[in-house]
Amino acid sequence: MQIHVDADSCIGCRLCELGCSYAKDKEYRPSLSRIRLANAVRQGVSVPLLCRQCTECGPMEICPEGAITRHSESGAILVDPETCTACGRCSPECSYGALTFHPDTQKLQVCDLCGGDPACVKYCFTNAIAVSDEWLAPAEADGLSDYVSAIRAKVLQLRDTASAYERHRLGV
Amino acid sequence: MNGYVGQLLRINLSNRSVRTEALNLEWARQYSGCSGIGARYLYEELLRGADALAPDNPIIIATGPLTGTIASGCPKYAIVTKSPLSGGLIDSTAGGGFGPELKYAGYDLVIIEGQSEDPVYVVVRDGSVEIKDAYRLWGKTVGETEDALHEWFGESAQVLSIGPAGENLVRFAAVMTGYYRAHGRGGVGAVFGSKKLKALVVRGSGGVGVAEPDAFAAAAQRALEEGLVKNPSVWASRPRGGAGTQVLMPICQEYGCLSTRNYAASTFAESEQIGQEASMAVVNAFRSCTHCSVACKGHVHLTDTPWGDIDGECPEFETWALLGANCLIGDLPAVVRANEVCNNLGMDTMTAGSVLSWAMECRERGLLDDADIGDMDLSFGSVGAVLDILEDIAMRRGLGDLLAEGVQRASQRVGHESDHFAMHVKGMGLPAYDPRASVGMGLGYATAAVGAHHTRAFTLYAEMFEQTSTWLSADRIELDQYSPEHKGKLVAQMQDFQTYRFNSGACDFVYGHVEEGWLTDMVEACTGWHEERDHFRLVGERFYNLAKMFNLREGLSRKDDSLPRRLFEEVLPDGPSQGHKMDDADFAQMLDDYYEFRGWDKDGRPGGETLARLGIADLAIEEGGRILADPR
Repeated sequence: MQIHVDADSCIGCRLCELGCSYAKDKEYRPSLSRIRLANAVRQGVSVPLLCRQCTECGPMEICPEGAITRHSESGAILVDPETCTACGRCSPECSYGALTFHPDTQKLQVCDLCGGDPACVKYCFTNAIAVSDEWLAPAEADGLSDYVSAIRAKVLQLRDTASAYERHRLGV
Repeated sequence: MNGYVGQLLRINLSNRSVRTEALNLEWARQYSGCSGIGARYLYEELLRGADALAPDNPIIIATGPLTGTIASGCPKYAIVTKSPLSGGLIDSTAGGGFGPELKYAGYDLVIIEGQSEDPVYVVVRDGSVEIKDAYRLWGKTVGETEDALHEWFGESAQVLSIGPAGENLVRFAAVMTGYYRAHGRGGVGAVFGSKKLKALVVRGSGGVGVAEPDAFAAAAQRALEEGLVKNPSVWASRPRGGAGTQVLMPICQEYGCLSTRNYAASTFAESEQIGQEASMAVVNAFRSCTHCSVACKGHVHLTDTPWGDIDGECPEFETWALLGANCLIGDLPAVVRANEVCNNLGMDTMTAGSVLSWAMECRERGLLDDADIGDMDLSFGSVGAVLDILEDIAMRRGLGDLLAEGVQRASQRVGHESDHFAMHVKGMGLPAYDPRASVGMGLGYATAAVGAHHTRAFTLYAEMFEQTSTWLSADRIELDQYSPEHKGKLVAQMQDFQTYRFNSGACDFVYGHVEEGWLTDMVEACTGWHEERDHFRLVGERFYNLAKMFNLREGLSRKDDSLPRRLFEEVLPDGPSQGHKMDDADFAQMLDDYYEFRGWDKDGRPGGETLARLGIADLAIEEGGRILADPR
């Protein structure tokens, strides 16, 4: 199964993020969410980012601890928090921008499809995210128009430059 | 864990000190969050009579208990300060994502004191607070400022900022957030400007805990599904089904209460050109505030306008009405452009509309100096003049310098009875609903502590459509839109519940139609404070007494709880309410009834026993050698 995205229907409410963090950790805390919005407020576009369960998973391949595995039935990507050492090597490997890291432990967090009943989807009333039995390649599963794709790329880049700026400022 | 983080951040820009303090939870319980707790802190900390633009006037940014939780439609927060427009209290709320992010960074409230010598901006990242040099941002528009700050601090940073209008102390300058959301009313942007504070950036990785997680999740889910998704009156404004606040344009036109030609008329011949259907035809996406499933904001993309392509937000109804109908502008791209200009300059579109329409009428009557007008065509309907003057106001150039003072001060300076048609209450420009067609709206404008404000008591539907209200009695009581009868009680009750909504963090547009139980259940499960059944009324009552005490202390009185003379002296020339005007005796009766219902005397001064009954006798102050609102 897979969560399909229709970014044109996304209104940018971010309730999915809180639905996820509450389901996982009983807290309303977006930094714990496995789904994140790339939000281009000025252009009026937002794109939900989450794991697409790619057949070739870069982070899984590079993880030196073998902490990232795949669920045999659902195909969900799973992370073992005990094994993950928060080394961060997986971070650049997801070309998709779907990885998030726990704000306190820095360990990897990935959407595990909530065992087949994703919490985020329950809070999406515009069907911008919806569960499907069909697995599609990432680009297709996201159904992004060229316009939205370009904005998504820009937002992700903004994320990188901002963190680079912060790293530079903090001297790390 | 009760919805509040329990901590406030105090920043002094004079000596650049920063410290955190525990939040006063007793005040949070009495007044709830946002405007309530913000106003209570301001009452405590503002030196009586301090100038609104002096270092002594603190800016208080306050969130509510529901802000940042999964309660849909409750992301709101308030900026509370002394208003440079009215000299009284201003609490100006906004949606967007700043409020939730502030709580995630670990603070319910921020108090900004003092005044910087050089332009600065403040960056809050979780526990880290930096006051930074803003020389590269000063003079920039709101859009440019946000662009730069997102580039530096990331796409997920939330930004509050002012534009040139705030920097130049325009008395109705706004504080903007997320490019398009405005703390529009009351001139809070000028207070930022007076402190040389360009922007506040916040990022947080924390969360919000609630007292009873399961009960809260259930109440939030119920409010979302039963109250919002299945409620047709809310859903009507939803994407692809409705039009956000623009549902009001055809209503106001049909019922004859649309501010037109500086309130000389109540219907606008070209209203359809800037109406619901026309404006929705250019909307290409609907957008939401953070944590709200009711996407009432339209995103427009216009090509080939005289100002090039416009990619930005669709104006709200108040903007269409006041910069459109009130200035006799029925040109859709022009109003979209004017809205964009105001947002970028950081200026309240509503007060801007009433200032411009007043200036147009002054020109028509020959009251302005030719030297001030120059070669500008300042007649009603002149698009070019509107766009030019908005810039002049923000930069305080020529006539713009006069108008930047707001319509009350400007009319005092121009004289020649131009105050007769200066459409304001306590300096704040009138919203788009003509009180001659709905006298309760008039009482609402007159008694809102902040000046003429439409969301504090929106009696229009009750007076015109339903002709009754459950706020008055369980039994049906007939309401007449022109009669003063029952209006005092109606307005007070509506103000009280509206206060509870706002102070919780809820949006009135989303929760305007739902039963109070949807909201009170969420708040109580969130805070864990189980209150008596009428607690929500008490929160409202306490707030109105607090706001009144604040305004009395600052020198406002019954004479300021008034309406512009035009409404009493000129009948409406058109529409269903043709021939109607406000009546002085009727208005006085409404005001008397309102004061009496609130437990205030004929001058609108709270009695000691009223404050004692509400448990807020600590608000009593000394005034001229005696105690105002003496509890004994």
